[in-house]
Amino acid sequence: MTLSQKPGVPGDGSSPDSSGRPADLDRRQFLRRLAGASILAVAAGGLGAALYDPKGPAGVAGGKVLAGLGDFRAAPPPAGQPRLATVHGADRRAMFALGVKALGGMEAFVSRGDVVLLKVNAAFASPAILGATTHPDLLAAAVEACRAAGAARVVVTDNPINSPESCFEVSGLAGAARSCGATILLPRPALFSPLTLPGGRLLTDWPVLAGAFAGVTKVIALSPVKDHQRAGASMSLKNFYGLLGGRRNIFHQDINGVIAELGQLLRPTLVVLDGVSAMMANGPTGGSLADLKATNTMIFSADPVAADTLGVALLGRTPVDLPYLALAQAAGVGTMDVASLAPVTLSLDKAAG
Amino acid sequence: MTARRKRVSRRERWTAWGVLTVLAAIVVWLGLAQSRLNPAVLVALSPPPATGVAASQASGRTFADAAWLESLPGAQPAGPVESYDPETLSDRIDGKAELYLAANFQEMSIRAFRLPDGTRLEVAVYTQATPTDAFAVLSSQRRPGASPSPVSPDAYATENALYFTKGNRYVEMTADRAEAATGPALAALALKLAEALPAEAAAKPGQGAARNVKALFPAEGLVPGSVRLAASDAMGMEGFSNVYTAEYDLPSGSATAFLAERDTAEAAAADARAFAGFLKQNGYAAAPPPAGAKLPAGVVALGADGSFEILWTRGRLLAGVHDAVNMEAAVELTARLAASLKDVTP
Repeated sequence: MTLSQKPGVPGDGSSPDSSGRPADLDRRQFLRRLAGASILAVAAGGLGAALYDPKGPAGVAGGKVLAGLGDFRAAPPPAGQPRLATVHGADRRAMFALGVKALGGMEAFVSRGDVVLLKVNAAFASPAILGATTHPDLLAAAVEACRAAGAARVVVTDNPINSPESCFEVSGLAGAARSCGATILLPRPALFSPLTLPGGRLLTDWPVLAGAFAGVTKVIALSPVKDHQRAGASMSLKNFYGLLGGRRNIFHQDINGVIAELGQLLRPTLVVLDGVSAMMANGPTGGSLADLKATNTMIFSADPVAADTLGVALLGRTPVDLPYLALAQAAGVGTMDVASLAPVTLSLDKAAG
Repeated sequence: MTARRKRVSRRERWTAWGVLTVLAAIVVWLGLAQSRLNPAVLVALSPPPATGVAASQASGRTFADAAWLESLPGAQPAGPVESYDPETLSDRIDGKAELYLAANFQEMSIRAFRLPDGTRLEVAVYTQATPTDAFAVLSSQRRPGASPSPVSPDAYATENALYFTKGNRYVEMTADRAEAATGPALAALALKLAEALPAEAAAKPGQGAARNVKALFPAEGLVPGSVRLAASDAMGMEGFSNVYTAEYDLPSGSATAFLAERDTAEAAAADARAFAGFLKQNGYAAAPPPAGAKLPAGVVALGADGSFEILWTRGRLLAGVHDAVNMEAAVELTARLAASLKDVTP
């Protein structure tokens, strides 16, 4: 662009010259445009400065995105010792004692001074008789065994979303915990922190109940055996769903994928799968005693994949019916090859005899 | 003022195109980034209700069915009425909500009560779009061995629970015990609630009443209480919706009959082809029925190990026999079902 001293048409400079090209700008036009452009630039810059937040968005509790909830596995047993036990019977307390003893005793899992988190399934405000939640007798047995092994503190938790107080009270879990000296930790917003599972496809920036794990050194999951409308079955791995916050029902679009990722959230010390009574249909809520069947089985292992692989038979199904088992195994959560865990099967009746 | 048209040099034109290309690339990148699922964004946009707050309180919405649970004669409320809509139903029955949502769920209200003998029970009233939808959720959960209940034609009771429909509402009443007095107490409460609930709305003028498909199953050999309506994914086939099934015990063996009504004969035929294809994908192969068997025209007969299927269409009706234990049972039930449909307007 060139500047001329004399405009072709004073004032607007819009007339073409004889060659058809627009006339060159004169000084006044140039200064006017320069001033306009400068005003626009200053206004844009000012708006940006006004909107600039030097602090950024407020951080969430914990201040960082977690990558997992921890590895709480105990030292592996000597070679050849059973790492999976199945106990048949109907008395949950006695079955728990026998199953834990078969795996080396509670001292193999809980040491003096440990802080133990018991992850129960308290999903619904449903009485224990309906089998939709962890049975209070099993919780009581676990709490007492932890305390007998020297646990400094036993904490019981779950995130049922709907009225946790009601779920824990109606299911009898709150009463069982209180009577045994365990602490019930109900979910509250401050306990949730975002977690992104390394390599995870679904669990990214997702709120999890991380606050419940503060100071915890051992984790034991106590799960009922239930039919599940979407997942096929709700057992040990599905129980970890209760560690998620937020509108977790969106994960139902890929229920198998999210259950497999749940297994990667944490490595439990022990999982106990309570199939004394199994919810055969209309799960996970049930509601009728007709939905239940006395399957008289309790399964113990540190490997939730193995426990669920055995447990699914109680529902009359096979591991193939639960695609999340293979996904979890592929992700290194555990093994479907239960024979590799040197399993033992015990019967309460025989033990008593 | 005369409009001025500035001649643009080639360099300026290329520069402009370059800028536009960069801007377009940014738009495409933004679109792709936004299309990916980001759970954290979903959480932020749709936070769950605060802990301990019923969805009805959180949403501020009014739920018409909450009124039915304000009081029940002879039962003391043991908690507040909680109500849920399609957005929040999973907050209450996560893992099972899809069963109701697939059958056009509209709202649900639930409340705990206590009876004079200390029994704690929960009463849940689900509102579906139509009586057919209400039947779908009732029948798909029907408990084997349950007893019929006089509360309504579809009502049934178990040791500790009672389930019924009235109009487009499905009601669940579940007690925390199964004692001798539990069943009569539930039945008495259910009768009172059923009386209070509105009856099925009459068909709109010119609309005509919907055909009662489940009444088309032949009565002989029908297992009581076995008629079900699958709102979705019937017999394991994804997308196979609104299919009635009924179980039969026949002299030749057991089998399941099924019926579905579609909008057009072409749609029924397309579903028949799709279901036959699904069966073939799952190991079934053509299994010719015995010579001389009297079967409807155009039947497709398939068989796998110990399981036999026969399906056909009659106008807008898709009919068939599913999972018969032998070909004789499949043929026998096909003949009975075809006879039952003989006088039905296709």
